[in-house]
Amino acid sequence: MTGFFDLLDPRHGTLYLFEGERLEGELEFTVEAGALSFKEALPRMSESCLSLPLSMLDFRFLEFPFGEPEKIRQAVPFELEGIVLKEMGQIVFDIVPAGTSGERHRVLAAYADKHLVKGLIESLKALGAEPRVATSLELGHVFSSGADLGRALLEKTVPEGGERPRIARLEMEKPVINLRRGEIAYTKEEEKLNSAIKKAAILAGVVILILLLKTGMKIYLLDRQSGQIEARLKRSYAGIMPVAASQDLDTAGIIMKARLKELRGKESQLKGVDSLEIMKALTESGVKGVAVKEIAMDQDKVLVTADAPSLGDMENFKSSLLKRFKSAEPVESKTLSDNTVTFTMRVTP
Amino acid sequence: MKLELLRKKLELNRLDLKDKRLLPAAAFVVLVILLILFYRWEASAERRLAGLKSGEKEFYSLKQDYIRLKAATDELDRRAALSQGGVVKSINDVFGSMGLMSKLASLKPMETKNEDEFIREDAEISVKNADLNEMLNILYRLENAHALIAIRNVDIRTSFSAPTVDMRLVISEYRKK
Repeated sequence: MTGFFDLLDPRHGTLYLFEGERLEGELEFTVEAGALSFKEALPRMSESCLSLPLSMLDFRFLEFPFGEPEKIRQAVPFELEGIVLKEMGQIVFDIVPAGTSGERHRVLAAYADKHLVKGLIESLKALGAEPRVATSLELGHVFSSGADLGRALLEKTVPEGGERPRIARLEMEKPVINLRRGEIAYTKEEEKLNSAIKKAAILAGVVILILLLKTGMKIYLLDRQSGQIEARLKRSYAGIMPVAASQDLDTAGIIMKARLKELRGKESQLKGVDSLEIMKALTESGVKGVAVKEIAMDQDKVLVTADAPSLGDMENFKSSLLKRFKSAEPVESKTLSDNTVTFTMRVTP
Repeated sequence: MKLELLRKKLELNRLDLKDKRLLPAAAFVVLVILLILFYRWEASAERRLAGLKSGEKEFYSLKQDYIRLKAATDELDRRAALSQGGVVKSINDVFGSMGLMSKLASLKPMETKNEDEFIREDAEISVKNADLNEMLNILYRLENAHALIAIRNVDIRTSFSAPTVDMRLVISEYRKK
């Protein structure tokens, strides 16, 4: 349900209640000490409008070299200053376009006492029916009738009682003026939105702060763990290779690998064939029936020449060798007339 | 003039309003940028830790090799420092100490050359009719002689007639320069 508070004069008025576009009812009200007063409780309204009669408004025709309504609204106080009796801070106003003449834009500035309008709004707010707009049904009627604005305002032409709810409905949809500007602007929805944005922003800020704290804590722990590993590695390097310990870890790693390569080369150069180990492994790899005739070894390979009762025994010997050496493969084999096999096996130590 | 003043005032008011609205947005953007920076910092710290862990793992696997190789090469160095008198003397000492001079069929000194910090002296020896025990003793004594002797090639052949072996060896003796 929506409501239109139509002030007929400074003392009394009518509230039109609409359900959609249909007029649901009318409630009379009086104005005492600047506040609206009802004989019965107000119904709950989703939206409401306040209308001031022409008698509570003052008007001035003004001309501007620009036509943008917002710019004109900003310029009006300067134009009105000195014309109106009150201080500019004590009035609220809005403009209605009143035609153009060449480069000149004529507007009608309608204004009213700010404290009066504010008082009416506050009283409605206290009743739980804060008006979204403060307009003038009568001005709307004059404006939409197409009559000469100046004359109509002078004569204070007002619509008849039966006609007023229809005009009220139109004013609710498209108010001719809205005096709720500046200090007394309708900010309920904006406040709600701002509050929601503020809450969302605070929440987002808190979430980000929590994430920052969590990430910061994780970075601290990761750094601490890295520091511990680094210190441990430095100590280990110092224990086995003091030269590398004074370097950063990457360089120390490179030095160690280079030193290892050097030591491996030296060992390989000086050590020669590990003949006893090879002989021991060959002995352990022995298979019944396989008789080794010749062993030739150097640093890279061992060639074993042997006789076996059958190819199966040769394969068994190979399998046995593979358990103790990196590789073993026959390079030559010959089956004799008595089915015995003579073969040479290449073995990698 | 009047309008010019008005225009300036309007622009100032608009700026003030924008500033007020921009402040929380700017704070939010700063927080988001901080968060992005923190995430990047975290990723970098994670990469550093992963690198250190893998470096530590690699270090401990190399450390064992290093310690073993260092001990082995130190021992080889120590023995190279003890080598004196040349390869012929060393071989005679080995066979003489075992009482196997009769099994030493031939001893041919080969080339002598410089190798890094060492002097390498090669020789070829031939052993005839040694039993398995003697063969293993000869190999053992050569590998563990006072002097640093490295066996390069070993060629062992069994005899058909007796349970003995013939052995041909190429060895190198290293001594410090």
